[in-house]
Amino acid sequence: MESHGGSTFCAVASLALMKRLDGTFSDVKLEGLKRWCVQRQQTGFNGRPNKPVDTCYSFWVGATLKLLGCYDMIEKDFNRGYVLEAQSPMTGGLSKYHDTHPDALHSYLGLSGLSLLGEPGLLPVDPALNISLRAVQHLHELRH
Amino acid sequence: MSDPEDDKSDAFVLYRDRPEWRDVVPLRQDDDASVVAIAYSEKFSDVFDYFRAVLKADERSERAFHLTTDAAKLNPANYTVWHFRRILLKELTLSLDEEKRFCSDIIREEPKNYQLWYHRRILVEWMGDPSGELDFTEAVLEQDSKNYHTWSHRQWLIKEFNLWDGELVYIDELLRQDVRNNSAWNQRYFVISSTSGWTPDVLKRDAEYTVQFIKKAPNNESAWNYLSGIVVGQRKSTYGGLKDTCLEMLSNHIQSPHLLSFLVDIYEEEALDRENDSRNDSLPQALELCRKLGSEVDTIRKKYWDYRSRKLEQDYRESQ
Repeated sequence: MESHGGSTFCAVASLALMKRLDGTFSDVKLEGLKRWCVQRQQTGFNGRPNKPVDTCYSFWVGATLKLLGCYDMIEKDFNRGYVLEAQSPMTGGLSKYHDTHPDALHSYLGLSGLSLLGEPGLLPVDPALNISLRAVQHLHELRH
Repeated sequence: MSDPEDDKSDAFVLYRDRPEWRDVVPLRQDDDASVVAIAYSEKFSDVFDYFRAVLKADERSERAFHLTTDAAKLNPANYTVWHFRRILLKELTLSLDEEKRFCSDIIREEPKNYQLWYHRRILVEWMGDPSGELDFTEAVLEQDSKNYHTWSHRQWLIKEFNLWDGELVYIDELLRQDVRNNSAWNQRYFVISSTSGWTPDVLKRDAEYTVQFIKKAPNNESAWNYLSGIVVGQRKSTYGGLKDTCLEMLSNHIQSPHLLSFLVDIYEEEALDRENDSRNDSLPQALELCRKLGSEVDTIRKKYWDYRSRKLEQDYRESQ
């Protein structure tokens, strides 16, 4: 099947959680992966080549780039601008695109994507688990 | 599908008002713990109260089956409904052709629903017969040529029932309609990989095929990705005159970032090849293209192109 930002995130995040991100891919494959992810950025990010950008990929692809150690390669202002444009001024919430119906998924992932950008007022998020660092800390405390 | 207006239609009678259902005690959903309680319509609550009841009682009857029809139409994403419906389909030996038609109707309304496509796959597996399936996926792709579920179903059909014949023709038709259809390019890779494989002749044919599409639309990421993908086992810098093709496009002032990027790959390959006598010339060529990409042609990826430049210089030094 087609390479996709969502499944790419799942694969990379899974490897990161297994502490297997290092050593699973050859250098050539790793560079190709970084390149493919960076290519997703148009303003915000799309999930596949030649598809429209969608708020949620600011997280799926953004988090993947964070885990690959090259999040700083993206153009942050365009990314931030896109996510903020996807807000629904009438009802609140965020949508996949500007001027369409907001939903819980895009609202959450839009915020998560903004958190990766270091947006003030948002808790920092764990890119592999997609929950706040505060929640991760809490989970660790529960185990002990 | 869950239209509150249906509550007012003459056709629908709430289950709690149906005499033939009087023997069943509806089960309310436990919403006490809900942080944000969903405002279900009266019809929705009614149907699902009765669904919960028959599920708990494991009542495998025709009336239970018709209840799952109402439940599925109200929330086609409720996989418990579909699970129970499949049990009933088997137990009551109901018509699978009719079930596929029902499935098709809802897919047409909600083509991105996972449960519907899964249900369809199970039905086709049970029937062991893919008749009409490729046509159905084509009809859905006509509405949305990139629907991931549809392509996934189509790939499964083709693999499972050996329906490879004619697929390349179909893909070609899609590409002529939209050369930027990444799903179609992916499908081409899938078919060739699984049938002839990438023999030297096939590779040559496909590289030429792709270059034709690139020349028509030089800024098409999908075609360039496909080209890069199929020549993975080769050296980009020497294979099939691609370098010459690219340099010719460059001299015709084609400003595609993908063209320049492909050339960066070519020059990088040459620069890092110890056997290559002219590799000292290749490095500055690659760096110049990276500079051009970062500052003019692909500025959104400036930091990436800066990274590529640094990496190139470092890799070059280390390869000495």
